Amino acid sequence: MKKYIPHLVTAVFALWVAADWRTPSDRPQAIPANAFARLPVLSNGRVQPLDSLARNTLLQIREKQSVRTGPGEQPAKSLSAAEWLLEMFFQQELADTRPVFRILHTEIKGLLGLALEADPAKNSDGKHFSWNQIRDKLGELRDEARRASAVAESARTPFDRAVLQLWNAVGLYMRTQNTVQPQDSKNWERELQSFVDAVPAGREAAKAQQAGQPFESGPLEQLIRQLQRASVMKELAPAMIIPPPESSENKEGWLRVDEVLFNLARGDTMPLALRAYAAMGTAYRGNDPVAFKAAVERYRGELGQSAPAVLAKCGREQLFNHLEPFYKCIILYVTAGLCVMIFTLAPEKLGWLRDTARLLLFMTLAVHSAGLIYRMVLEGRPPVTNLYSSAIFIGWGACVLGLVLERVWKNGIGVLVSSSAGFLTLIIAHNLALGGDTMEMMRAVLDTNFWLATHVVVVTLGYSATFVAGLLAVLYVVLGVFTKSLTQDMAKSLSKMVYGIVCFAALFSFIGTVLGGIWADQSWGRFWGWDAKENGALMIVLWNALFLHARWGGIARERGLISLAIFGNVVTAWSWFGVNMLGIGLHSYGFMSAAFTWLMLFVTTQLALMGFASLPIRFWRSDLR
Amino acid sequence: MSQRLWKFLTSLKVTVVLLLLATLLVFLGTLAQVHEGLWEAQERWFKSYLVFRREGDVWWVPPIFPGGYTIGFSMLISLVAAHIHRFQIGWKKVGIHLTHAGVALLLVGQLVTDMLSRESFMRFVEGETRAYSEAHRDVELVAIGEPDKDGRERVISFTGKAVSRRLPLQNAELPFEIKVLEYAENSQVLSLASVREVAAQLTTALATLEAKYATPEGLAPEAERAVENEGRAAVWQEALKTVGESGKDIVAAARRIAADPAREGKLRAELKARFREQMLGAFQRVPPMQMANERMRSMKYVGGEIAAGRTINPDALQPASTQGAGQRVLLLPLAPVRGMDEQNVPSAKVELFAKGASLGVWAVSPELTLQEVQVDGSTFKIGFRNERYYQPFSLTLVKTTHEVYPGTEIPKNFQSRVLLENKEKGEKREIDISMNNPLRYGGLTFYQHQMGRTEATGGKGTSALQVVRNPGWITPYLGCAIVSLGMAWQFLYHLVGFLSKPRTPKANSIPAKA
Repeated sequence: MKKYIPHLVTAVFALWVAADWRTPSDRPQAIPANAFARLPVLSNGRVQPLDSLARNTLLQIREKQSVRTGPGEQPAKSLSAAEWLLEMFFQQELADTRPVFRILHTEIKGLLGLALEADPAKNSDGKHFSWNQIRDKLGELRDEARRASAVAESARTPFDRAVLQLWNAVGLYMRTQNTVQPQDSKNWERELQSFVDAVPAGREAAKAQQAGQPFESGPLEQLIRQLQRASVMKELAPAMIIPPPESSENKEGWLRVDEVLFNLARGDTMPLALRAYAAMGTAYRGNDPVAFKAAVERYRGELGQSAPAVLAKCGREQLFNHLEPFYKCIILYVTAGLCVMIFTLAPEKLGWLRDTARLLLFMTLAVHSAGLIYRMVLEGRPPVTNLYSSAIFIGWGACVLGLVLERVWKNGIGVLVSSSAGFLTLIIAHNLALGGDTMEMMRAVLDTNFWLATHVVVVTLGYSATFVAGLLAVLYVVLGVFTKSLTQDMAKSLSKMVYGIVCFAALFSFIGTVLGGIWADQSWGRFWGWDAKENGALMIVLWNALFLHARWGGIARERGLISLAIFGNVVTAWSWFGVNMLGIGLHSYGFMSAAFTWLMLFVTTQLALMGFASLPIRFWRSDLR
Repeated sequence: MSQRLWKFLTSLKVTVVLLLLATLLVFLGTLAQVHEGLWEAQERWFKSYLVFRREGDVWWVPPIFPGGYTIGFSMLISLVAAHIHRFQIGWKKVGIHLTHAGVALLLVGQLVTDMLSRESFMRFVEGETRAYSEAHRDVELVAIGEPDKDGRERVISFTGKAVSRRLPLQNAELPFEIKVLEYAENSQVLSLASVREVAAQLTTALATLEAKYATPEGLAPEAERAVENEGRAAVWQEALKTVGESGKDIVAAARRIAADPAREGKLRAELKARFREQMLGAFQRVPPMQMANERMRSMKYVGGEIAAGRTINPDALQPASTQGAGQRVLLLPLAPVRGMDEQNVPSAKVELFAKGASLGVWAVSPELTLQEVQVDGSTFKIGFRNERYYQPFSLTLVKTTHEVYPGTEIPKNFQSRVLLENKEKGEKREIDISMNNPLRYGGLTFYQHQMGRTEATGGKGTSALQVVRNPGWITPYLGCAIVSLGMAWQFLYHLVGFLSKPRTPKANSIPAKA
């Protein structure tokens, strides 16, 4: 019976993953939020489904992809990102009651007069606040934000940074509410219609006015009033929801609603998209699912004619968002990791747990790979394009390496390495995603798939391998110093694994670094410019070379080499994240101070582990004498 | 002795120590970029033999550290020595030899590049033609003679280095000798007239301020005027607080205090100090984009001087030179800047001598135009400018394309269309240069560097190409290929060995890679 447990467990998890592999559907009698969220929008320089816009906006404001109602509201309700976006677009006064602003800094809570702790009476969980709860003190927030933005980036206090982050979230919120209609509009469809009706007379009046002749002021005033509202929208620069007309040459010529309003005033015809969104608004406010669905379908029908590729891409991206493959992988990695950790308690008896973990890990790798490939196809890019995707890819590489080790040594260590590396890197990726759209466009200098596919992939595999070697070394120290389970055999095989992986890491980081140099030679005219990121990669190469030569020369013994490999983690973390925090050089992606604390913590733990590694052997709990 | 040295050189211990030092150097050199800027940090840490701690350094800079050249050369020597020492013929070692030979080539290549490569820039506006590129930092002192029959100018140039060393500058084609009196690595050039005007205005304004509050009788009328202006009223209220008044009614408070000898003196001093500070502050606060404005720059300078407690007597200001454009400017030395985007403005004062007689003093700086010098009926134009490298061909900027992703500021494509013309070879063709798509021609490579569109050029596009001459450009390609080959060989050799061995089922039986 035990023989089948691994297969059974894996099958159950596989079913769990596969269950989501379908286009998200809507409940029949409700407003079809998912069908709505499949509609395209141009934001952040790329066409994406409204679903992605909703999720990325929420991630930046609330650090979650869904909204939960406040504790004072019964029954408690959870809104998906798409449902929230519907409220933001069409029923702003309801959206304003949703606690979406995540505010943790107590000084900011004080500034805005918010509840410090969870307080059902104030309808607050103490962490998330609604627009209505913060609106009265926005002036104070603005003043603080002005002050903080004048402070140099590296000199900002945590309070300054939190203020700026919240102020940015406020801007994002207002922008989102003004995407489809002016946020104060109560019946946009009717207002839009009367605007359009007023255009001919208003234009006549404007001409007459200019010519100094008598004119009827009513329609002209109406036009001007609407256009003033449009100017407010324009200043917020929300996403572009009106696709380029079919006749247009420029397939990227999407428009914002305010631009369309100005075009209408010039006498252009009304685009179907604008009419469709207005109809959706009426149907949404009147809670009329049938009419809403009809409006969505009509608009989709037209898009199906004019831009079928856009529609298909949005469908795929929505499915990808819905699948959340990397989130599922986190859970799978944790499960596999737990299995193998329990296995190490009694390796003789619990062999089936190792098999379960191993099999589960193969399945996880398949999901991880599928997610990676899906992203690549969506973006039309090689796997690594930014920091977020580098984390995903490093995890993937580490998982593969761990499974190779497991295949050779069959002692559970490879599984432990795979699952912990996979888990950690995906957690890092998850936090990096809070910055917004992870499929952002590539700036001109990076816009070359050839070099992204070669240099970036190879150098990232080098990071991956160095981390795996470091992780193995960490295992060596942890098992040896704190448990009795590190046997002589195991110690030997671990140090062999470290050595083999470092060879691999040296090869990949060297080739990756040189390829980077060649890219730089091709695009900037110098092979090597001592840029911070280049230097980071070079340090990894040098460190791996140092490890290898120290071993070949017999300069460091087993435990010395283990320490060197642990320090490899520090070098790699520095290259991966540290150099970006310096805010210098061509590769810098801005000062990431939140990550700085984590990096320091990581470095400290690694140095502590090196300290443990150098403890005399008699202090080790495992017997290695 | 020599044997011991040989043994030392070829030992792996030395290799490991060198690798450790190299890792440390790269780390420190990267950190140093935060404070010193990329260029300075590069020169100091990587393109040097020794790094010394100097005044004003951050705490982590060690007293002395081996620089990039020391470590690089040591690595090269140790690498070559170890090779000679351990060289064995045999398939097993081919990979190792290749790898190390490739690394040696990379090191050599980097050193060659360092010494022989030259970076410069070609900047032009749409429609302009350039047959030369300009250095980013290096300047030259030029004397340009009258054009000859073919319309070609005679350009006699002296390097900025020679000027900075104050060497006597002469050339057989020049009818005069140049003596450098003063040189500043960085300086500010201000219009003398503008500084005089601004200084006079500020002095008058400060005197008026002084006069307004000279007596207690002045307080009430000034308070009445202040009510009309929100900013002035705010200053008044602040000042009133210091003498214990907090009411809204400034005028009433002013009247009260004017009648109170115990407090009026303090209030007048407070008001004077506050308005003076405000005035000087307004003078000094110049937004960076306004720094091109002559008057603004003068205001900043004058405001700064007076705020620092110095006085400026407009009539005592001395022009930079007795001849040329320098007669109309002030030349002020500044501390050199080192940031990535900052640029020094070097300047010099030079005295010209013809046949032993002085012709006068000229001021030269890239900020001043070329100035005429007449000697024996021939005219020369002299000046300081960024060093120019002339080429036997020319590029004309035909069109610039600058695209961003819709709705964002993220650059999508920079592209310059240029017309390449080489009269000697009879070549004339149009070429697109864009990011990741440089033009290689005549031993030079042209990269798209910057792009803009300025009002000053009538809305025409501008483009800057980076021009690189690097005779050693091929070495990294070769080095990389050789190392890759070596590593691949080593890898495959062991893989084949591993696969051809009989498999044993026992765990832990995998041979380690050598």
